Parts: sequence; C-alpha cells; structure tokens
Amino acid sequence: MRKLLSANFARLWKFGFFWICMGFMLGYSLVYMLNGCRQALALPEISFTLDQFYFHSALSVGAFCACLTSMFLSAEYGDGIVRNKIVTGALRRDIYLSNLVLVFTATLLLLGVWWISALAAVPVLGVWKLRFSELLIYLLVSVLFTAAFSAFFTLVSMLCENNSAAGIVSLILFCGLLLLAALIDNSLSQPETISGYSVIIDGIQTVKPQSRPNPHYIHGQWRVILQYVLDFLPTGQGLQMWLLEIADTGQVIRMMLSSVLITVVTTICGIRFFQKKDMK
Amino acid sequence: MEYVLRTNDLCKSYKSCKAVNGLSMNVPKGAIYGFVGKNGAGKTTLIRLVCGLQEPVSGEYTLYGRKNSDREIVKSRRRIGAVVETPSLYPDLSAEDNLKQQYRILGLPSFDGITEILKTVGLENVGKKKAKHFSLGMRQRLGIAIALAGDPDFLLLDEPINGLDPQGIVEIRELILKLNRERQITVLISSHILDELAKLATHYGFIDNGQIIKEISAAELEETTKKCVHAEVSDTKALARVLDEMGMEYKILDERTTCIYAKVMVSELVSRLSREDCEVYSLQEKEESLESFYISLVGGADHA
Repeated sequence: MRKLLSANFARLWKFGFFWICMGFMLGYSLVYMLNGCRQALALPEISFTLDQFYFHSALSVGAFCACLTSMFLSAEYGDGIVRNKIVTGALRRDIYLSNLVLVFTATLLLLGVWWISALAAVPVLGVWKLRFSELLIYLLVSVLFTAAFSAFFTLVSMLCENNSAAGIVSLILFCGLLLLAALIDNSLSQPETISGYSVIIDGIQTVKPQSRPNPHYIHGQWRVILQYVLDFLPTGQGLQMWLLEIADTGQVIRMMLSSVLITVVTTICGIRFFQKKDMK
Repeated sequence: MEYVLRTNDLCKSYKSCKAVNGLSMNVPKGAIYGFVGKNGAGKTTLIRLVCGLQEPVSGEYTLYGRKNSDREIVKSRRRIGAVVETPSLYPDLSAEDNLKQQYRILGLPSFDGITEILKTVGLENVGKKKAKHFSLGMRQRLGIAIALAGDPDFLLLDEPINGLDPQGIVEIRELILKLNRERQITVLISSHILDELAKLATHYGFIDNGQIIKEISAAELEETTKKCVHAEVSDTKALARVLDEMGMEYKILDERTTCIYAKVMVSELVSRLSREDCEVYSLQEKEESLESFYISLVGGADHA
C-alpha cells in the first residue's frame, strides 16, 4: 500500500490536469471573492460578510473532484497502469484504497487552495462572522463530504475502464445530485404562509393583507424525511453550507455521519466489485 | 523437468463465448515458449488469467509451484513481468521516469538499476523524450523494460512484434534471445507471426478454440518438419540397407514410404536399389514449415 501511494503521489505531481485544476480553483476563488468585495463596496447599505462567499467552494468542489478523479484514474486504466500494478502482485484492495487516498488528498488540496486564496477578500469583507467553533465545524463537514465525493467518484472511475465514459458518468451524477439537492432545498425553503396583498387608494388602505397557507409548503413527516435526504447528500450538505443554512448540532452530526457512511459503503462496494472485475 | 507455469483444464468464458476451454499447457523453466494461435484462439485470455487480470471460471494453474487458488499466488506473480497487448506506460513521462514509477510501484529502494535496464533494451540514449513521441518499437522495448524492472524470472509477452517494422522486429527478437540466454529468463511469447517465432522458440504450444492442440519442443518440431525426400519403393528393407551403406539418415514411415533426410543423388540411389531388385515408384522432395505444420494441426480448410 505504501509503495502504491508513493507511486500515485509521484504521478500526481507530474499530472498536468491536476495543476490545471489547481490554477482554475485559484482563479475561480479570487474572481468570486473579488466580486464579493465589489458588491460590498458598491452597496455599503447591505452588510456583506466573508462567510457568505467563503463557503461557495462547498458547491463546486464536487465537480472538480468528479473531473479530477475520472481524468486521473481513467488515464491509469487507459495507459495500462492499473493492469501493470496487478501483474506486479499488488492486491486489488490496495490499488483501490491507494487511488481513493490520492483522489481525496488531491481534492482536499483543491479545497485548500480555495480556502487560502479566498482570504484575499478579508481586507474588504473582514473576517468570519461565524464563531471559531462553528467555522471549524463547517470546515470539518467540508472535509467529510469531500471524502464522500472522492469515494463516490473513485467507485465510478474504478469500475468504468472507458476514459470518456467515466468522466461523463461522474459529471452527470454530480449534476443530478446537485439538481436533486437544489430541488429539495427549494421545497424546504417554501414559506409556510403566503402574505396577502393590500390595496391603498389615496393613502387609504382599502384591502387589508391576509396571509394564507402556502400549498407548496411541505408538512410533517415528509419535511423531516426531505431534510434528512438533504443532509445525507454531499451536494445537499454543500448547498446548505453555501447558504449558511446549517442550523443545529444534530444536523451537523447527521451530515458528518452521512459522509462517513457514504465513504465506507461506497469503498466496500467498490473494492468488492473491483476484486471481481475482469481486466483487459 | 521443472515447470514455471502449468495449467490444467483451464476455462474462461465471456457471457456465452468460451475464450479458454479446458486449456492444459506446461511452460518449462528456461524455455522460450512460442504460444501459437489465430486471433481469438484464446492466447491473450490465457495471459490475462496467468497475470491475475481475470479469474478462470474453472480449472487451475500453477505458477512457480503455487496454485491460483492459493492466497500466496501474488508472491509468484512478483516473479513475473508482462506486456499484455499494449505496453503499460505513462505517455507523458520519459523512459527513465517511467522506470522510476515502476520502481516505486515495486517498492524498490533505489533507482540504481535503471540505466542498466535502459541499456539492455537499447533506450539509453533517448534522454528526456516523452514516451508518447516514441516509435512503436521503442514503446514496445520500453514496455519490456518496465516488465524487467522487478528482475523477473518469467516474462509474458503478448504479440510483442505486432505492427513493428523489420528493424523493430529484429531488435525485439534479439532482445528476447539476450534476456533468455544472459539472464535465464523464461519467456512465453504469443504470436501469429510464425516465421519470427520459429527463430526464437525452444518450445511451442498450439492453441485453437481455447484449447492446446499440440505441445512440442523446437527440436521435436524440427525433426517433424525438416526437409526430406519421400521415397516410395517396393522394398523398404532394401532401401534401408542401401541408405545405411550410403550413410544417410532416414525414417521408415510405412511399408512403401521412407523419409530420407539428406541430399539424394537420384541416379546412384536408383542404380543401387535396382541391384537389390527394389523398384522406385517415386521420389518427392518435401519441406514443412512451422506455418504448414500449424495449418495441418488446426485444419487448413478453416484457415485458408
């Protein structure tokens, strides 16, 4: 395992696409944060905070992970490196785990680039409004759902030998999960009541506003289930983090456990499938 | 005889297609084993099975005395090197960096042997040129270099000369011979370029429809296929006496036919036989190549 990790990391440092991703993440972060600064300077009456922009990476890191994983692992397949590792007597389980560790570390490095370069906005937006402990929790949740993304996309890429197919499947899955999370979040964000309208004629209010129940508001058990699903999905976690909607300790624990569960289950399944897989 | 690889009734199927169907073969230690068969006969599948890339559905194989069902088979696999179909290499790295990567995968403590391996395969002067800019022959040689990184005792080469130009073919042939002679590496080489294989192999395994139909040593094959004159005569005993007197090597095939392995002076032979009251019905010069031997084994009509 150690020697496979050593080979993997030596390869990563020479893998051009990884550095392209790093450069893109750096540029993306700087442009996004500087745009936040521009908004804050243009609209001084609105109180913009660093927090509102800082966790945007939670939304995009999955896409970077999907691209990087499929490109790196598909190249390993396409160039016959995975085959070569098996021929040299490496265990399939070790090959799988070493690839997962590599993907996770590479994605964390991308996240790290965002976290560091986003600090460029501090002179204008100030530091975080979150308490230090909250900030740490947000960062920990980020690390854990990055692990979940890494495990998920490693599974896809290790089972799909075709270079382009692995990339397309990974991106479609990411987009699908993001869309699902957005739909659920949108449903849960519906207000319970809709405010009525008021009519004012010549300064006299002739119709008083009457609020009525929102038919799209989700009640009861369904609301709980959807919130659980949203907390379970890595994209859901990312979305809520970006929107600063993580409310309580219970939700944080749920999110962390979900990420750990996804990571463990997908890795066990992935290793099982990979051990049975016929290699060309 | 000590064997590196033995397979017993090995089977592998893909859905309904039986790629390897009860294959039994034996690769002796120190041999260059020519694995001969048409496309789709099961050569590559057998190599994939032995390399652990795929699992057989039934049957077994033994690699350096360890059965494939043994958990320790990975230790035997560490003694092999393989180039399966296309060489496994990083296209955007130089030959040296490719070997360094292989050294890391193998967990070798230093990169000391790299220069020697590059020299062995004739790639010592390629510098920093990336593998993707190599010719096909150079890539093939780099693939063999990577396979040699773990100092293997057994090399499996799947169609190593496919697509190479004549110069490339000669280079690969000489490299394989050198590895076999100087490092005593056992080589299993699959190919359907029979003339080329005939210049290398010490043993042959002929495969058709996923089964070994004949295993033969190069010496036995030479004996079977060597140039001879088929003499059809009325009395083979008389012919044998005459040939003994003339000091010629021969083999009596049946009551009328004898194979003479020498240049025959027809007039002298006929006159001597006539003195022995032996009629000569026909004299035919025959030579069987590896190709014609293979075709006669698998059935010419199917492969015409």
